[in-house]
Amino acid sequence: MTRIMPRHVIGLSAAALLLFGGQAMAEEPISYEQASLLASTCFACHGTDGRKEGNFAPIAGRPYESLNAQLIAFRNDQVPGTTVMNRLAAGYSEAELEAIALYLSGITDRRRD
Amino acid sequence: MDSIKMNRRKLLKLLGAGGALAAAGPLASPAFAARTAGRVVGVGGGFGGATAAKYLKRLQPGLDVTLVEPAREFYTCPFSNLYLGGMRQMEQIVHGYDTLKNRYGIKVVHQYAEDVDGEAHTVRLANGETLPYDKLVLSPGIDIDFEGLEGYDEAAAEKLPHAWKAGDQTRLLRSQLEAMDDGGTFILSAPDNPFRCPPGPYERVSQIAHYFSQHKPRSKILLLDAKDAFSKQGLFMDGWREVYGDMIEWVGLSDDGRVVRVDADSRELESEFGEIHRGDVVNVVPPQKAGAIAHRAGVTNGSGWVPVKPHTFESQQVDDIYVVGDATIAAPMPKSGFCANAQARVTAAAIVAELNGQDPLDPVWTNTCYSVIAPEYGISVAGVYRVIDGEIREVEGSGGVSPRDADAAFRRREAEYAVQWYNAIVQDTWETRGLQKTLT
Ligand SMILES: Cc1cc2nc3c(=O)[nH]c(=O)nc-3n(C[C@H](O)[C@H](O)[C@H](O)COP(=O)(O)OP(=O)(O)OC[C@H]3O[C@@H](n4cnc5c(N)ncnc54)[C@H](O)[C@@H]3O)c2cc1C
Repeated sequence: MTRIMPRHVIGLSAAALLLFGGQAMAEEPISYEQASLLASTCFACHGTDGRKEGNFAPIAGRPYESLNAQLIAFRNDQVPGTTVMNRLAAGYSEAELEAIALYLSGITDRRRD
Repeated sequence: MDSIKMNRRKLLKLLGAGGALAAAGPLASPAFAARTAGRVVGVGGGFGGATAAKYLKRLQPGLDVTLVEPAREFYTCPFSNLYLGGMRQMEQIVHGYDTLKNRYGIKVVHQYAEDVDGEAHTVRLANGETLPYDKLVLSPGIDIDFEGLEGYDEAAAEKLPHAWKAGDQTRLLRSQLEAMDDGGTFILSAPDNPFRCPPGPYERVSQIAHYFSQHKPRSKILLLDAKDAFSKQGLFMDGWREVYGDMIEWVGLSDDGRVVRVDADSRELESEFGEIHRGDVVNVVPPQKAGAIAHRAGVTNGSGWVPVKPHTFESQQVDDIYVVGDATIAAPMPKSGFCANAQARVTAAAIVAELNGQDPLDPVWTNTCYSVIAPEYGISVAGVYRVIDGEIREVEGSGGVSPRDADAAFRRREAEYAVQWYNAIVQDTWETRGLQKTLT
């Protein structure tokens, strides 16, 4: 049977995954469900829960800080040699990228699907 | 360790600041998991339907999910052009349903859905069986519009294949290309918008040029187009010139590229202003419409496609029927497998929310369509889409195509990424394995 998403979040109950939009964005909380929906936009290239391994950098279970910093750098188009991640990250607010980083960092089980 | 502590601290602070805990209903997911109420039927086991079924079960394992799909094995259109170009075998683009059945507990019924009764909430299968549903997800893809082009009917498609649904049609086109003499002419006729996979015809002629350049280098390719502009046009044309010289000639609408009549026996295509083009192999990519079941269910409008509510992709016309993928009117999102998969994930979440009496989430969809012009030459178009002012729109400042001035290493990387994408999306959709790492 598959495991449901909330169990992937280390040390946090689903309840804890609430974030608030930063900067210019409306100060809307980002719920756990919303975070998981945002993160799921990564799955078509990185596999379900970001677990697929290959040429793309692995993203499941990487530390929150490095994921977040990388996503923000893509958003600001500051990663040399980027092909598509700059174009994609530009479609999200910083708070949303934080939520995505938090969700993916919580995927502890690196087993390939 | 540090990161977890940091996250905790940060989150606690945020929770304290907002106090929105109860309002957001953050414990809903575990609660959904235990619930069983709800029968969802999916029609179509392609990119949209298989993804929807899987994500419904992920979000709420107790749901009763049935997926109706006549084929036991699904051939993907993505990478079927690479089969035509000789870069892939058909065995590498076929996917089955075992993991969806066995690990996710989805009931997969290999039948054709013949009719939907939206009032009674039932689906009738070809074997006479009737399936009741609370929510129905249709992802039937496209049907060829055999009324849409004079002379092009099902019999004509056996001579002038469309190969716009992967499988036997794709094999037929490949065998015709193999039988063609060196020095022959291949013609592809491309339709007006909207149609499945906007870059598809242009990737296809690239792949066929790849095959010709290796085996039949004196052959020519003529692309007759009902449009004056197409997806990734500048990038494609640069690539064609760079890799294939003048092998590919593109004739747009303004230069009388629109084909209005075909003669399957003589392999002749007639243009709007009466010019006759005769090919040795002719590939007609015909006009298309939503799959037949969408028409039976009463969810299509006069355009032949399905209008949907942007937040959920529920039909605008019939309650409790959700439609995703190529069958929908979702522009500016393209009719791509990538978008069908993305729409299915959002719609699965919306259905679970609705069954549990919650508001739908804020949708976001992405797209990235790779086209492989040659083994080491890939290009892409990407987009991020949201509901803005009640409509689906591309997020300003996001998306767009690969840079026009990129170097060979960039193009090589995008060709490799195309393979990585394929491997990932088939895993996310059918839980099947993809291809090996490299293209050659
Ligand atoms: C040449 C080509 C290349 C492409 N390349 C790409 C690419 O690189 N990237 C990309 O993202 N997209 C690509 N696409 C587009 C992609 O194939 C489609 O967008 C995608 O398949 C749409 O998904 P869907 O679920 O709407 O339909 P499909 O994937 O076609 O699935 C529909 C399924 O429904 C079933 N069905 C239909 N009617 C019924 C019924 N009444 N009862 C039961 N089952 C039914 C069918 O058997 C089929 O299995 C390409 C398309 C073509 C033609």
